[in-house]
Amino acid sequence: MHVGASEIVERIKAEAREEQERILREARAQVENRIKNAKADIEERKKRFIETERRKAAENKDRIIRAKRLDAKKFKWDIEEKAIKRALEEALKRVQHVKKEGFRGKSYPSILAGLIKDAALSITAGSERSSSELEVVLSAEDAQFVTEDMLKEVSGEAGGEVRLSEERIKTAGGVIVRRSDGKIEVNNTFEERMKRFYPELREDIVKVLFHDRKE
Amino acid sequence: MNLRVMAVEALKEIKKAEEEARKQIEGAKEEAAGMIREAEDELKKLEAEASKDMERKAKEIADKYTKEGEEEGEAILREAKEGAEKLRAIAESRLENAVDAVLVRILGLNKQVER
Repeated sequence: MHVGASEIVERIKAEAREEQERILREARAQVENRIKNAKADIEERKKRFIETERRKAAENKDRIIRAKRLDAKKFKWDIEEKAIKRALEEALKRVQHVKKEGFRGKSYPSILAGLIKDAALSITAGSERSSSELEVVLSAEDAQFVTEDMLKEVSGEAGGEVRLSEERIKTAGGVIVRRSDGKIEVNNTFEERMKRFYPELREDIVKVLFHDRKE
Repeated sequence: MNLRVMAVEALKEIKKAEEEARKQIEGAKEEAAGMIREAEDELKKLEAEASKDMERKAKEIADKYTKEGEEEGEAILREAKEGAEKLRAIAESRLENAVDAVLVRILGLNKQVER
């Protein structure tokens, strides 16, 4: 081969080798770079994902605890509600005993007279009529405790004539007092008073049952 | 050998070298493409492993926090039940006083004129 031609062939071979090496070098660099970037991206995504999962899990934990706290409060409320109901039921049952033995040194007739007087005063105080005729309605059992003297005394204090109605009602005790024209009525039966004063009664019961006595 | 023959021989050698060079470069390009394909497969594998890993970690985290929540919650309930029992006993021991308080109000002994 001519010297010039062999030089050309050698140059072609050398250039081809260089080109081959360049192509492979660039490919290796590209691969290395892509894998490096992908790994970094995966790590970053993993980090974010785990943070999100941790936050979600912590929220779930808080939800579980809040639900248990609510259940715990319900235990207390349940006890309170049952105790309040029981105190009210027992009080109504105790009325029979009060009718026989009185309460806190007061006889049942005097208690009844007080209820009649309170009701009568409420009516006469709110009535424009100078003299009101009032009638007292009770159960057959409680009617036995009302005397003419008692009614006279109440009439004097209430500023209106108070008389016993012939009508009888079913009640554990207490009275209904109404103006004879039927326009104003005060229901002082124990069941009705229990309903009317329920918020105050609840407060009284909770105070007695659950408040620390040292307070 | 005359000059003409020598020139033809030289041209043949050059042509052959060029052809080999072309093949060499083509081979390199194919090898590079193969490397990139392998890298793509490697990336897919990495993605799949990461996805599996994240799923496993998410479950671990969720299980851990749920367990903690349930344990703390159970402790709260246990304490509340004990407290409730004490409350019930106290309420039971004070029931008579509560009944008295109710009677005072419904019998009208709290000295109030109520409509």
